[in-house]
Amino acid sequence: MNKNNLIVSLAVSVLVGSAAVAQTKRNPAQEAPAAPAASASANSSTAAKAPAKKAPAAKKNIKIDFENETVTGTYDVPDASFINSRKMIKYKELFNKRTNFIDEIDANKGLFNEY
Amino acid sequence: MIMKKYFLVIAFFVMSLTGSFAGANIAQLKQGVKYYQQGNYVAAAMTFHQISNGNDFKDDLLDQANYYLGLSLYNLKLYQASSYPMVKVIRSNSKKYKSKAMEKLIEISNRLGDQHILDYVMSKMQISDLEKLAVDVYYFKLASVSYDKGLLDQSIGYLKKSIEKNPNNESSLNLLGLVNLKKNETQPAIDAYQKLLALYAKKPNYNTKKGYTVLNLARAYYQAKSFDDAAEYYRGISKDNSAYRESLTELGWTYLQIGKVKSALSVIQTLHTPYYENYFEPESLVLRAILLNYMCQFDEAEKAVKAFNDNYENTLEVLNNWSSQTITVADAIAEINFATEVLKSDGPTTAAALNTYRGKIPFKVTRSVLKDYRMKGLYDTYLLVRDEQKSSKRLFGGQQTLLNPFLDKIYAGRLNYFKNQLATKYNQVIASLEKNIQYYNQQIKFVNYEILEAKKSQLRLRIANNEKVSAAEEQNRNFYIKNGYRYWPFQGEFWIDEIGNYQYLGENRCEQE
Repeated sequence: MNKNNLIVSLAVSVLVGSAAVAQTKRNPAQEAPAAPAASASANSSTAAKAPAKKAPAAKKNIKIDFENETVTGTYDVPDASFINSRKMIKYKELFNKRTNFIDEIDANKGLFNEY
Repeated sequence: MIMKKYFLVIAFFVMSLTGSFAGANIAQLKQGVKYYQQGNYVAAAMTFHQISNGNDFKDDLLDQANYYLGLSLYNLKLYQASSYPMVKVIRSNSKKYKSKAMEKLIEISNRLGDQHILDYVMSKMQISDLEKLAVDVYYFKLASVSYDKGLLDQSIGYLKKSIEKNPNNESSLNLLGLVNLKKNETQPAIDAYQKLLALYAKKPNYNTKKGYTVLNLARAYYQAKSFDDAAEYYRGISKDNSAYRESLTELGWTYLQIGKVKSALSVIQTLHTPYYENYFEPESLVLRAILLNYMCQFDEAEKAVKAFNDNYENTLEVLNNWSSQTITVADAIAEINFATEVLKSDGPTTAAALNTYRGKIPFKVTRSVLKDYRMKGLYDTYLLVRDEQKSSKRLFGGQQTLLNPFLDKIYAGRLNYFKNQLATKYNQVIASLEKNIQYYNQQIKFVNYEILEAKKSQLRLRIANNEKVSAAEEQNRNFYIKNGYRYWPFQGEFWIDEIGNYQYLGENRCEQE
């Protein structure tokens, strides 16, 4: 496994969990023969009995750059819509993104205290 | 024998005298009731007050007089004053009037928005009263206390009982949503807000409670990471609803989460128009800088950072100074009054009031303080009681009656109490806003760092791409020079029907590998 493939595997596990597969930006024609490793292992029991079915062709085009802490590319899972729209994001940022608005709801709860 | 006769005569004399007094007093009471029934509440209040001040009545008649005094004052919209005779009735444990007085006190609490009155009623409730009065309100109060103590499961238990008794209890449904969100259980929270929203189905869109319920629903979906649903509800808040402004920054975050950076910038842009320039909005500037950085619009992003520093670093300094000084009640009340003058002004007078603003704390900060939940209820009650004091003087000022000093004493005492409370809360909220700005000050520095980092990596990419010029840079940039990538289909001013229509036209300028 070359360095690029290692990066790809790590990117996948960071982004979409173990079931997902990612590949570096390569020529699609070259990608075809290389069966996705995770899919192959998931189907290993059936592979012995019947010819391995081709996994649905996912749009795989992701690269993670640890030096610059960026993820580049597109991916066709719903959670990755943000990555797809940006093409490149920083996966580690110093500032905080909002996760909830509990304090704001708490601030206005008095509005409903009427009888 | 002579002595015995003498005693009999005296006893007869005393009895007839008492009887005639009682007869006169009952006639007075009847007269008061007659005034009340005729709607002459001023005369009724004076009559009942005179009776309640005397010692000639039996307790039950005295309770009746106090109860009707309270009702008369209530009908004159002197709610604060009307609570006093009602409390007297409750304290006397009158069998006939106690429950009625409690019910009226709950209404008074509602009119004034004064939770302390409600707390008092709750503390005086017996189990036997519960069937007659609002059981759901009782459970809601228990749930609120549990919530304040951080006992979330217990709070949910009480809220369920409250809703079981009254499925339309708005405060219980709203608190149920909030408690579930605190527990990070988003689906029950969404269900609670949906039920609450159904109660407002026939209300107009500008209804404040309806607006905030939609907003809370959107927030619940956001927390559940259902960003598309969240965006849908955020967009459903009408512009003339007071929840609209608050929804904009949050919609901006939602769009960011689903990768609609340009939509997010369009939304945030509304907040940065002159229409909203006098609002405390540090978070929206931080978000704007983040969004522009994601678009690789570094010049614009740095402008947003600068705008934050220009607006809020100075404010932070002012708040630091305020906190380090000894602030009197009069100082804090003066700030509140200055801001109230501006808030009560309209149109051109607002501009004039802002130009001559004398507050030490910037107007936009005090405005936010007054909207804070720790202040808002108290402040609204203070304004109501202040208005009531004026009404009381107008209604009874010219009357030679003991009711007049009675009312003066009530209002002077209550206003003094509210001023002290307001001053304490004002300083507390200022301290928390100070922390808030400090937090966003740190965030904007992080964003600034990210901008520099992104600039560096973009430069590296451009060098690698042989200095390729992006398509966005080849465009005619006249409009950018004029208004910084903003577009809105109106000319000149920023009116309420225009807000929310701004479109961000900037392109993503990030270099691709």
